[in-house]
Amino acid sequence: MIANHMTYPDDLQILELIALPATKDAGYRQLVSKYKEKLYWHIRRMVEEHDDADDVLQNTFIKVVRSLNGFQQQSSLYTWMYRIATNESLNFIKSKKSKHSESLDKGHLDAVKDSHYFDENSALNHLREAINALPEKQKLVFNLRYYDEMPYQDIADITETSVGALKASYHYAVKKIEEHLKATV
Amino acid sequence: MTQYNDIMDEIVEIAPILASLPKSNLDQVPEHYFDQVEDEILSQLSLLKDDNQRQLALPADYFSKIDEVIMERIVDQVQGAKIIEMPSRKINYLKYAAILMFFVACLGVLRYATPEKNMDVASQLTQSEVLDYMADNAEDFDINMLIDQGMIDESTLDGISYISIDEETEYILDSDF
Repeated sequence: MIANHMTYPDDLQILELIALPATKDAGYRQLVSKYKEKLYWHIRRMVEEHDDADDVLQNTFIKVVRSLNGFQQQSSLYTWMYRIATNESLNFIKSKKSKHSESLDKGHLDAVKDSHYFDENSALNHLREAINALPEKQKLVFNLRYYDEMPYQDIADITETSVGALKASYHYAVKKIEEHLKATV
Repeated sequence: MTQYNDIMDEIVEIAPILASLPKSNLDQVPEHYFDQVEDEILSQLSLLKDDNQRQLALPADYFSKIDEVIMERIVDQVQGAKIIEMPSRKINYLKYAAILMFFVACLGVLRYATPEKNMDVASQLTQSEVLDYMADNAEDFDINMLIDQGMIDESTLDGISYISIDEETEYILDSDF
């Protein structure tokens, strides 16, 4: 898994810190510190550009804190946060698409390539092209499984889809990416 | 078996090229981004918390005093209330009915008092009927006026008895006017 390896309290402890007025701020700090990178990369893989990912990440944390009172603990805190991040990202993509009908297509990919933070490794660029060519749902499932290394059940909680449908979706996504890599690498 | 091994086994089986690629983030972030973004998010959360506290702040003993304040206001409202007698709806209905009747009556009068209507009635009378009516009801002043206006021929008045001006004057003087 691509993440830093610092030790954080578990989610339940963080929630207990947040619940008490005296430790609320410390709880928020732990929450942000623990999840900022994971959520950033999850969002970045969806919205692609750093500045957009930065905005969506901040909005996600604000929404998480605002909604914490309504968190029922029926799912784990991290899948709940991923679900919020996913919804924020999808809403962002939708609004961006409606503003610029040609965003997220090949022209958009060229703009990403020109950006300062783009990695020039060619094989990985082909992988990026292949992932970006996937339908939105397959792309989301692939990213959560391949990069975030999540069990199918957690992905099912985040995407509110059945495990069977997710497995099929992931399988198709991997096959499509492989086909693209075969043709380009 | 770990989750990572599960995932890699799946991929090796169906996508060997993908499995051979290093799994790393395709993009980079600005230097120290994650430290800065943490501070940024926490400062926004702090503003959020201040807003919530400001919105939810209550004066001391608010709930122990609020019922008294509400009761006092209710009593003030009830005592200070001015009773205004509203007009009866029944009277309003009668008023509208009277106005309606008046308009209907006016329309009726206008309909039957038009000159055309009178002319129609007059045209149905014979000359002798007109003269008989005039003999019974007209005074010489009226007849003179009709003659002056050319509405009747003076020769047709032969044989009609009508009171003279002198007789009329005498009648008026004798009456209670």
